[in-house]
Amino acid sequence: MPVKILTVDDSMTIRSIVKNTLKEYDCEIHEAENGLLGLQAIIRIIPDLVILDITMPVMDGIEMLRKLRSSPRGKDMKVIMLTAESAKENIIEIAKLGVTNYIVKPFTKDQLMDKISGLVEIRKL
Amino acid sequence: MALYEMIRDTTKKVFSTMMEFELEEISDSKKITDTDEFWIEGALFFGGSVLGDFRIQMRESFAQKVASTMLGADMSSIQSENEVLDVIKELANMIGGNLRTQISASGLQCDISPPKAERKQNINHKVPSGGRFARSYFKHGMHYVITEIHLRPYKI
Repeated sequence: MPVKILTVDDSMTIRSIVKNTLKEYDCEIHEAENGLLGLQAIIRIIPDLVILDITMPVMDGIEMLRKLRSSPRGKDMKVIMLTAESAKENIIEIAKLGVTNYIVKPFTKDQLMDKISGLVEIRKL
Repeated sequence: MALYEMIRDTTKKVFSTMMEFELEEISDSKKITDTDEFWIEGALFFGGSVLGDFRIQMRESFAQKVASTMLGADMSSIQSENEVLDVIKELANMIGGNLRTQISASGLQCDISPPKAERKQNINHKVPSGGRFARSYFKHGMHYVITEIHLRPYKI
């Protein structure tokens, strides 16, 4: 069965990069443009992995993660957070929220793939 | 905090990591303004114990090449200006976010605004007065990239 991955990011560029990185893998890619739409998509899709940006309009990634972790369905869901800031205190803050892993922008496709394959079993097509 | 080195190294790192584009630092900026092609400018703002802004500027044809590389698409499939602007906005976000981390690490706490991008006929080449300012010029093949940062202390 294909792995279900949800990318939540207001940047079409980042969503496209994730989609391109995964195009040779057996997975279903779903997208949402903000945290609120991300939570709605989670109910509908029940993804195996969420790739989540921090800064977004309407509902940011931190708020979305808080809500996700407080729900029975989302408390153990795997989440990779994307951040452009690598300061130690920011990473600690993200970790405290219950993120499974994180990736600092800029990143290569290999770095992104390493993080994804470290969390879900994903096979090449 | 060496502002020039910070903006130079961060710009080079983002281009190299995201697109495998190696940028060559240049000092002669005369050729950059040779054509009348439109510019694409990405920008974001810093706010906190310092105020300021970061800008990235490139000609439209190079912005299209950058967009097609970042999106993994052919140049011909980049149909809309919005796609190009979104990519340049994301580049501004990546460089600006990394700069914010370095500025905060030097003891000047600040946040960044959401990035924006626009198409412009002309860009401002003047050096702003007050505060600290750095501008770096790069070349990639026949194309040019300019990045600049302006910081000033927050005073009421």
